Amino acid sequence: MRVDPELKKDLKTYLKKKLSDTHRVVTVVSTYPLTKIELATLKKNVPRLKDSVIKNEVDKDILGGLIIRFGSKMIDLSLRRELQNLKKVVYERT
Amino acid sequence: MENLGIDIKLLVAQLVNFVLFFIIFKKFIASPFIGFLNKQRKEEQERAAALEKARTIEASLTEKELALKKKMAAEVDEVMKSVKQDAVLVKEDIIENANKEADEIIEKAKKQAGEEKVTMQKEVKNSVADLSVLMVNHVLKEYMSDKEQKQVTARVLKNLDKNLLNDES
Repeated sequence: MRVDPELKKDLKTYLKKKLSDTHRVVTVVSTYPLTKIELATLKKNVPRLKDSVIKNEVDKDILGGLIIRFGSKMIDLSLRRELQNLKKVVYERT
Repeated sequence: MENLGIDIKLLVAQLVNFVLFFIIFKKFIASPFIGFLNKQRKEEQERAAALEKARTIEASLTEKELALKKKMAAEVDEVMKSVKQDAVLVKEDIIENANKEADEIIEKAKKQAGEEKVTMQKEVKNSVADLSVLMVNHVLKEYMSDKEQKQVTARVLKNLDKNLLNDES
């Protein structure tokens, strides 16, 4: 099937823009809504976040700490993760 | 002579008759008869010799039979002895194998029991770990105050690696 070159170009531009937007939006999950000071500290400590749009989500199940998601990647700094690590250590030692 | 009642002619004729009779008897009757008797005697001797030979052979055969029987008996004894020894060896072998198998089964059972014990211990430990983590999870979820939550967030922000996102992206 032959695709119209104009349509192909538009589609490429759209996907690039969407991908760029996706990379720009960073989701931060916490157990309570983060304050502006905390968000500022986060941006200050991680220079890459300066140009990103931070979207804060609340999830009590992570118990504490933060989860940072951008694009398809995720950095888990939550207490839930710590507990899972602890569980692994206990399993490995038994 | 005539007075004595002896007739010379008759006497001569009788004498001639006797001589003729003797000659005929000797030639045609006595010789074949003697030959027949000799033949019979010879055959009798041959039979006796054959009988003697047969007896000798019989005696020899009897001796051989006895010797053979003795030899067979000795061989049977030897074979029986050998079979008995073999049977004893087989019996010992069977007993040894049975003991070995029993030992192996016991050892295997012990090993299995040990492994099961270890598995059970592991399962118990894992259950304890799961339960502990679940309890901690529950306690943290239920009893952590906002202040403590913020302290945790502050600690995380403080220890955050600046290159964290750069490395990841």
